[in-house]
Amino acid sequence: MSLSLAALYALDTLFYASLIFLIVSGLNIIYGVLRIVNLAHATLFALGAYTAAWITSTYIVKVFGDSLIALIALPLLTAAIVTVIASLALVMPILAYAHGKGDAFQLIVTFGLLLVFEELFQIIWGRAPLAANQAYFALGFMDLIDRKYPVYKIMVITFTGFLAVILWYMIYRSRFGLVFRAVAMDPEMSSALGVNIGRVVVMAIILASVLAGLGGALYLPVASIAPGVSLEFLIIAFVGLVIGGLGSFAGSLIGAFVVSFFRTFSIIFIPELELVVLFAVAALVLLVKPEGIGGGKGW
Amino acid sequence: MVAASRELGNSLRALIALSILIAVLYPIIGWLRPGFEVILTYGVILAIAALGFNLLFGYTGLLSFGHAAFFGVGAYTIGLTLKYLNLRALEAQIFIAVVAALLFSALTGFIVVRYRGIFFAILILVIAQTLWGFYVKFYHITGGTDGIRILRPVILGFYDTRGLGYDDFNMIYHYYALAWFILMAYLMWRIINSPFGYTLKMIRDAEDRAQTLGIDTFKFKLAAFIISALYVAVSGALYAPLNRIVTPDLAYWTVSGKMVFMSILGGFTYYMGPIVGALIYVYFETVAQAITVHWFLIMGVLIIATMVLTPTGLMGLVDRPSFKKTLSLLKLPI
Repeated sequence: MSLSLAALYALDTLFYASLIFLIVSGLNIIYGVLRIVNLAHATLFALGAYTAAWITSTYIVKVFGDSLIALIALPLLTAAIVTVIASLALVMPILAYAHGKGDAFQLIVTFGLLLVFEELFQIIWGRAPLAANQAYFALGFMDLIDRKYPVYKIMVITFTGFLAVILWYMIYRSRFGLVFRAVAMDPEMSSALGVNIGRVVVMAIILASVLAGLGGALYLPVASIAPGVSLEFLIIAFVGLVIGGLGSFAGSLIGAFVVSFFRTFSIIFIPELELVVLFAVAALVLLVKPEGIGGGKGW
Repeated sequence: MVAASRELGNSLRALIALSILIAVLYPIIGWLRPGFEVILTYGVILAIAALGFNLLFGYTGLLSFGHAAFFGVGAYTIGLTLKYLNLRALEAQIFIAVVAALLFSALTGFIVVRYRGIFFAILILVIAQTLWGFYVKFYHITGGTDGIRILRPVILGFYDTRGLGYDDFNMIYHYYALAWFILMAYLMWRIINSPFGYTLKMIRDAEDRAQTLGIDTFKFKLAAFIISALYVAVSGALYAPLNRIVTPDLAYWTVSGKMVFMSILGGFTYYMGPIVGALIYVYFETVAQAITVHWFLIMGVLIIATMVLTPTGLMGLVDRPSFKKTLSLLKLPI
């Protein structure tokens, strides 16, 4: 493998790790405050992608032409807003009801939600794949030794790194983070100390939805969105969750990176066995360290 | 009264009564609404899968979102043995499907039943999606998304159904599938009312305690997983000739969702639950698909509604006192 090829794989690994981190961290945030593993969470990622595709091809291109700022910023903004609204309207009531009801109940109910979302997307946007890759091509390509690499992917990696830093700051340095971690650690005690649990839960759900929605909008320009993409990302994100461990910041980062690493390399060398490789990695991690590589410590 | 209703959820009499009802209803529905009677055939076939699924979920406490894998194994065994071995003897094909499912479930179960809750659910989902991917990607073997056309089978070793008319075949196949259903349902009744079945329930309720009592819970869970897979494979195998085509759709994750829905709709804590659930499910599906293509939206809403309104399912509506028990069972350890 030449040096440029290695660099290309490394960058692709980082790119997918960024997207997966945006889903996994949201899953972990919700798990932190509600102790629910939300099977429908990856559909918010798909919703972000659908929204970005729709707003780009219907409005942005017509109104702003090929303005680079509009092509990049507006889909992200719209995706975040739409995802939060959908999440507060559809996901939050279900999660609130399922809170404390036990594992099987939560899995089944959020699975029902997954079906509802998948089918709603098909009603609204149809079954054909949607794409809007103007931003991808507008940013062009850069030299990577003797190859070309899309600047867009570098931008996504940088932007997600930036988001991760903000998220870290919010959780470990801000007042909201303090309260959030307290609720994640001991909801009853926090409540007794005067924390408004409901408000923290709503904030956590909004935060998780924004991250997933942004992830979808960032993903769209390099690919297309179609029925089934939610489930693909659901599986990858959950393998990341299993590898990284439930409910922690470090776990989200490690899980996203490890799953992306194995995914990128299995797609290159043995594309048919991509899921088999992911399965093997997840099963192995669970066998050796059941709480996950970075997990067990909590938020 | 209470005892009688609880009896209903776990009795052979109820099974016999329902089987006779299905046998009698077939010509009646065929006469009242021609074409609708085939719903019953799909119903009894899917009931076999739901029974298998529920041995794992309702009786062992392992919720699987990947049982479509075994449904696919069953259906594709029929397709592949027909395509490559030119085998049309259905019992021989089902036997091969059972052996294939046995090997495949033993191999995968050996890994996945070590985990519980979300981890089990996700690992088995990954397995199912892997198989689905194989059916799509290895199109030179499986026909890809075009699938494999299924010829009319030879049943009971001598009766060739190829020359039959559409209605005649459907009727004969209905009673054939019903016989399979009765056999499999009776065996399941024996399984869950045996010491083995009671041990599974014990593992479901308190795995730690079962281990303390010296039970190798891994072995029991693996056995339950394999039996469950065999049931689903038999169901998939019976489904193929009726569907007349085997496509990757039969192994897609939504099929696993159907099994979850059938179990909770009927009531997963009851022996009769998944059977009732499967029969009502196919009716719902047929009626809904006549109106809309977006059946999964309705199914998603119904799944949530069932869990919120009656977590014990339709059987639970009959059997009130167990309501609390089911709620406590839903709090399975992660």
